[in-house]
Amino acid sequence: MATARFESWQAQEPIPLKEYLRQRKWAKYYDRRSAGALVVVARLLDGRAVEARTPIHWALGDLEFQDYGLESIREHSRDSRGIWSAERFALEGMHSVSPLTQFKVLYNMPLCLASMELGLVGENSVTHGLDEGLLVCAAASRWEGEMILGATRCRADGGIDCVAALARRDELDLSRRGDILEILRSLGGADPEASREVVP
Amino acid sequence: MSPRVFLCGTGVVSPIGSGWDEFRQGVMEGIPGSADLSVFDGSRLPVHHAAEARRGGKVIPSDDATDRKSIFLEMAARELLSGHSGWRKVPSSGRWAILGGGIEHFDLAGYTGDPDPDWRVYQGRYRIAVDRICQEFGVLGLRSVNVSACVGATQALGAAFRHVRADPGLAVLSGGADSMLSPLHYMGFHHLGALSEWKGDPARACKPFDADRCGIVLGEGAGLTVVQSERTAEPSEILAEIVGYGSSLDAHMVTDPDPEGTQLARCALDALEDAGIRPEDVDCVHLHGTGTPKNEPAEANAMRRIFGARAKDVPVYSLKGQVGHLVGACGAVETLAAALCLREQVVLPTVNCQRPDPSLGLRVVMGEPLRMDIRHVLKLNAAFGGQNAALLLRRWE
Repeated sequence: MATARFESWQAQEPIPLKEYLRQRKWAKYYDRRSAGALVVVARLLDGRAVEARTPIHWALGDLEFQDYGLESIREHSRDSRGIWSAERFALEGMHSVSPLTQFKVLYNMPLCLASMELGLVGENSVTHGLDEGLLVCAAASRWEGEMILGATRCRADGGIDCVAALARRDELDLSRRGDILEILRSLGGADPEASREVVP
Repeated sequence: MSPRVFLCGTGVVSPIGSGWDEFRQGVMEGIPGSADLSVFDGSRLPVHHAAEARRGGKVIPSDDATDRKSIFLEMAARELLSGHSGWRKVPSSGRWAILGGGIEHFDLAGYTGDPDPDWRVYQGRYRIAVDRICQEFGVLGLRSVNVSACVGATQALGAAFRHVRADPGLAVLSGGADSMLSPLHYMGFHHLGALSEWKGDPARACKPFDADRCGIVLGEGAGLTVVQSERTAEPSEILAEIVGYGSSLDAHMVTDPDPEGTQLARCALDALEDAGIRPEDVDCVHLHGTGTPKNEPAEANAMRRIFGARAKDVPVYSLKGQVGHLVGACGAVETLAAALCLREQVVLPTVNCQRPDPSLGLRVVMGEPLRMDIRHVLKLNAAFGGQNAALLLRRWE
């Protein structure tokens, strides 16, 4: 029987990443999207051991609230007329943000960072779009046991919603369309006692 | 018994040509795809090599605001599906799209010149291009856009294979498209320290397996095919049979691949098991071969884990010396190249590998193409962050 966990954080609300990080030096690689993914999976598993080869599949929606230093790059890439200058970009703009920013831009970081923390080495995928795309990848697995399926929504108001579920391939209904976060929540019977609800 | 599953037809946009005939000629003749960056002004950047997508020998033009990978996706889809007989045999409800893609394009020049910008306005939407081709070519079944970085397209093809094997009535549009040739994405790869800083001829900037390898050259393009079963495939359109798929995670480090190649080997062995064949049945391997100092040792160790003592004898190849790193599309274009080599029964020399790194212990084909009997090709890809994927192709006979 599938289980699921839902977590939601408001724009300014801290995500308790360090409670779940074994290697705290890696915190610098996390943005809120990756932090939310790790926390929701860790809380789903709640200390329960899973096989290292347990598959993990993750879906991401559009990034709606963070600019990852775009404003700084813009300010350092304009000429005196206020328009784009390839020369200023090369000399100043591209150096105005930390190289660590790149780890926060890559779509596969939530999945990869979670795999490193949890020691997961099995089948995997990262899909873009909060739709059936995640289920398409997960249903292609040959794994007979439970898989970890997750999704992250970055809301325009700066909040973030994350769902993680443990489900077997035969519990996935590919005919079901809709919001993947709701599909994953319903897989686990939408246990409201175990999850924090979105505050409107 | 499982139905046979095939790659049927091709749509390709690449730095060595667009359309199958140009691409085929480019691969077989070792035409260099890397040159000075021209799609945006990179003259002041620390390095400005790029493998830009070309058609008829000319770089495919676009403006700063345009998401090039969306252009390439649509070009490749039209080449592939216009007149595709096997595709037409399958009703729209049985047509799926499982595609690889990359990070969204961002029009940094437009954003910078806007006095009061909303950054979201300047972000591309690859999924709109995916939806457009699905509408144009009647895909009413499921869709998935895999953005697993450098294994996105490989995983997409693997998932397409598994679904068609399970339901031979399906036809899945698969492969991928990507372009990182924009100022913001160039900056990202520069920050990762991944770009080749070769100061000489840009055509020689990426040197897979070479003792002097010094990093990647960013490329761009698209590779598409239809994955379908023997039930619906048109024999004249079959490029190769796909018989196995595997994927894994290193769970090692954020910045580096596992130097032991343990999980890379694991996913290859999973693909072999999926296909029901043994390592000794594999005739050659198309590796990820990025031309970076850390990738190739990991792949060499994976080769030893897969093949044991035979690892030093199995011919290996990388397309990246020629076309650069197509990131979210590399697995697609490289799989088409692997299928081409199966058809031609040849392992090609890896472009720009002139002095193979002896510490790797790999059999890199040099000089002339190696003509041999090839029944199975193993295709490996690996992504920054530790994702790995393997496909196993079999000669169509």
